[in-house]
Amino acid sequence: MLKYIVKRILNAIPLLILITLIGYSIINAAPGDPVNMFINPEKATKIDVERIREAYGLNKPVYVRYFLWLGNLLKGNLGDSYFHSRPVLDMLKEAIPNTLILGIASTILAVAVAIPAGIISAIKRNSFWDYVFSTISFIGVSLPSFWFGLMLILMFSLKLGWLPTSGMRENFEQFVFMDRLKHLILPAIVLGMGNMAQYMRFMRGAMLEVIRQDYVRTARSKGLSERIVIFKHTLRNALLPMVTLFGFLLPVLFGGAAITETIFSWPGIGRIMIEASFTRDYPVMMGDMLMIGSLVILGNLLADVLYAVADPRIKYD
Amino acid sequence: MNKYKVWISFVLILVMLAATFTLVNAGTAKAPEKILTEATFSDPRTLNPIMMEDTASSDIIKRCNAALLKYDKNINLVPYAAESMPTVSKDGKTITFKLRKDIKWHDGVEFTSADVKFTYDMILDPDVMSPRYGDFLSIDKIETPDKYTVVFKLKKADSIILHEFQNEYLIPKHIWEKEDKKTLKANPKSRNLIGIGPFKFVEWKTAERVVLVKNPDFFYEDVKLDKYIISITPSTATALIKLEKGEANYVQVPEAEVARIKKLPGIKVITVQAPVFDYIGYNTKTPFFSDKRVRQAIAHAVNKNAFAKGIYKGLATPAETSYPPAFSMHEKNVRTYNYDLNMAKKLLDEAGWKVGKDGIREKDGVKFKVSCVTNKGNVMREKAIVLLQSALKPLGIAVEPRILEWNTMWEKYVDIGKYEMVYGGMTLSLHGNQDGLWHSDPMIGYFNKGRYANPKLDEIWDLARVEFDVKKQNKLYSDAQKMLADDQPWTFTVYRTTSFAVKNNVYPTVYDILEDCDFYKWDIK
Repeated sequence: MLKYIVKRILNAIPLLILITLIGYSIINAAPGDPVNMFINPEKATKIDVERIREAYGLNKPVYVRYFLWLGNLLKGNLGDSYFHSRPVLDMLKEAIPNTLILGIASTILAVAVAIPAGIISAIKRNSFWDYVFSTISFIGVSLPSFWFGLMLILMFSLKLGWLPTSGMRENFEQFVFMDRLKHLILPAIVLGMGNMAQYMRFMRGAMLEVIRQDYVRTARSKGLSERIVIFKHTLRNALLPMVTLFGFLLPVLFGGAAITETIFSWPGIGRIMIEASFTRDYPVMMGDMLMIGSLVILGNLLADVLYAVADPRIKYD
Repeated sequence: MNKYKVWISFVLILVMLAATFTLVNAGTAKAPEKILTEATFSDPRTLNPIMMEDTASSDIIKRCNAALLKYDKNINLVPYAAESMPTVSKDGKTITFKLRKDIKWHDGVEFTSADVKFTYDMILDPDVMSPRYGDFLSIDKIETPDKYTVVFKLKKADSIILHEFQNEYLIPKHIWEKEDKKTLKANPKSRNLIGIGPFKFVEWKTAERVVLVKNPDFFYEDVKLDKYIISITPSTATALIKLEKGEANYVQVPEAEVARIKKLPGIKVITVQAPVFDYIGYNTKTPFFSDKRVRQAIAHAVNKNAFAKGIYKGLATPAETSYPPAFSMHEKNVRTYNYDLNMAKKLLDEAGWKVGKDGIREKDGVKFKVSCVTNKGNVMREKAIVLLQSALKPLGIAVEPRILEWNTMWEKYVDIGKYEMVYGGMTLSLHGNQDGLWHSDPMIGYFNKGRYANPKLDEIWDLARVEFDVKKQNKLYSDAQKMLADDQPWTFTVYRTTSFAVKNNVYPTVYDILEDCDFYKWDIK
C-alpha cells in the first residue's frame, strides 16, 4: 500500500507541472496586459510602461517567465501579487483557513441532511418521500447560489434579525465561538445546497445497489429485523462509495465558493480568485491553480486509499 | 448507537442553538460613540500615498492625510497644509509655499518642509516607480530654505501642477527615509498609515474591514465623528441590505436602486453631480465617421432627454459639452443637438450617404453597417447601445451592439482603433485640462482613440497649461467647448450623478463633483 501511495505521489509531480503549464498558456493567451493594472493610462508614458515591464519581468518572453516561476516555486516562493504587492503565499495562507471552515461546515450540513434522506429515498423507493427528496435535490442543484444567498439574508437577517448579514465575524479582538457560528450558518447552507443534492442522489443509488445484493436477501431470510438489515448490513456497505465521494469533493472545499463568498463578504480564496482573474494578477492565478491542482490530485489519491482501507476486497500492489 | 437517533439529536442541537441566537442578539447595548460604518466594494491596495492609484486606496488615504491644497465646494483651490495660497513667479516657473506651523503627524512628530521635499523627491525618483510620477514631470527641483517654506522650481511654466498639489498626500520623512526605495509597495509599512489628516489609521483586516479613529489634533477643523469603519462588502446587494438592517449607515447606491432605497424608512438619499459624462465615441479613421456631418447627424438622432429619463432613471442630465455644469468653465453657449430626425437625415444626405433599396444607407459601395462596443458591467451603458441601435435604424444606419469584457474591449478593439463606435463614460480630472481626451498627438491624447485631430484645439490645451489666471484659463476652455460641439468627435449624451444613502441620524457633507471630500465635517446625532 505504501509503495502504491509513493508511486502515485511521484506520478503527481509531472502532472502538476503539466497543469500549471496549460493554465499558464491559457492565462497568457487571454487579452489583458497586467501592466495596465500598474499605471494610470492617462498619465503613463512609454518609459513608465517599459520600466514597469522590466521591474516585474514582464518584458521577458512568455516561456522564460514560466521557467522563472517554476524555479521560484522549487525554492518555495510563489512570487508577489501584482495587484497587492504582497507575497502570494501570504495571501493564500490568510484566506485558505476561512474557505476551509466554510467548506467543512457546508459539507457537514450537506451530509447530515443527505445521508438520512438518501437512505429513506432508497428504502421507500418511488414513495412520496422519495419524490419529495428528489425534488428538493433537483431544486438544490438548480437554485443559483447568489439568489438563494440573498433570499436567506433577507429572511433571516433583515426580516427576522436572527443572524448577521455577512462577513466572518463581528468581534475582531478575540475569537468568540457564537459570533463565528452565527456568521457561518447562512453561507454554509448556501454552499451546501448544491453538494447536498449530489450526496443524496449518490447515497440513494449506493443503497439501492447494495439492497439488491444476495447477502442482504440472506440477512432478511435469516429473520433479522429490518432495522438491523438496513443499518448494520446495507448502510455500512453503501457508505463505502460515499467515502470516495468525499475525496473527490475535497478540492471543492478549497476551490473557493466564489459566488457564496462574494455575497457573504467571506474573506476566502474564492474572492481572491475572482479578483485575480479580473486584474490579470498572474502570480496569484498561478499560485491558485497550483493549489487546486494539488488538491484534485490529493483528493483522488485520498479517495482511492480510503476505499482500499474501508473495503478489504480492494488491494493495490 | 442508532444512526437515526444521532441525526435527530443533531437537528435538535441546531434548533437549540438557533433559539440561543435570538437571545444573544437581544442584549447588545449601543455605544454612545459616533461611528460611521461604510459598506464599500473592495479592499484598498495600498496605504502609501505615493504608490496609490485606485479609488479604494485613495478614499482611505485622503481621510487620514492632507495635501498642500484642497478644493472648496466650488472647485476653487484653497490652502490646506499650506498656510496660504502659493506665490508664483512671473515666468511661472517658481512656486513657493508657506506651510502651517501647527501640524503634527499622527505619531506626534512635527510636520515640516522636509516632509514635503521628501515626498516629492520620492515621487520623482525612478527607482520608486510611483504611479504619481507622470503628474509632476515639470518639477526640476525642490528647495526648503526653512522649516516652513517649500520652493518648487519647474522646468517650464505649468498651472496644472497646482491642482496636482491638491491631489498629492504627503508622507512622513522620519518613517520612510531609511526604507528600500524599490520595494515600497511590498513594504509592510505601506499597509499602515501615519498621516496628518482628520482620521488616524487603526487597523486593516484584509477583505473584512478597515478602522479609523478621530484625530483630536487635526490642524484644520474639529472632527466630529469618533470612529469610521470601512466594511468591505463585494456584493452591492448585500451592502444595501446592511444599510437597511443598520449594520452600515453609509453606502453608495447605484442608479437602479435609488428609487427603492429612497422609500426605506429612516434612510435619506443624496444625489450629487459626478465628474463623469457618458458619450458615443466615433472612430474618425473609418469611412463612416471621417465626415463630421455624419457625427452631427447621429447627435441629432439621439434623444438625450429620453436617455436621461429612461435609461439613467432621471439620475442623469442631457449633455452638450465635455464639462458637467458644476465645473466653473462649463460653457452653455455651444452648438446644441436637439432631437431632430429630419435634420439628421438631411446631414447624412449632404455627406453623400444615400438610402439604399434595403433601407440602409450606402456610399461608394459601402453599406452603413457599424458595431458599437461597450464594456460589460455598466448596466446603463449596455442599455444605451441597444437604444442607440433602435434610434439609428430609422436613419438607415445599422448598428450592432457588442458588449465586451473591459480588457478585451480595450485591448482588442478600442486601443488599436479596431472599432467604429464606442459607448463609454469619461471620469474627468478636476483641473479641467482635457488634452488627454482630444490632443492629436497619441502620446498626449491618450483617450483620443478615434484619432480626432484639430490643431487649433491642440493649441488651446497647450496655452491653458501655462495660464495661471483662472478667468483667462476658463475662456480658453470655453473656446475649446465651442470647437468640440461643432466637430462632434464624440457625442456627449448625459452627465452622470452619484447617489449616497445614509441613515437619518447621519449628517453628511457632500458636494457636486467633489462628493465627500470634506469628511471631517460629517456628524452623527
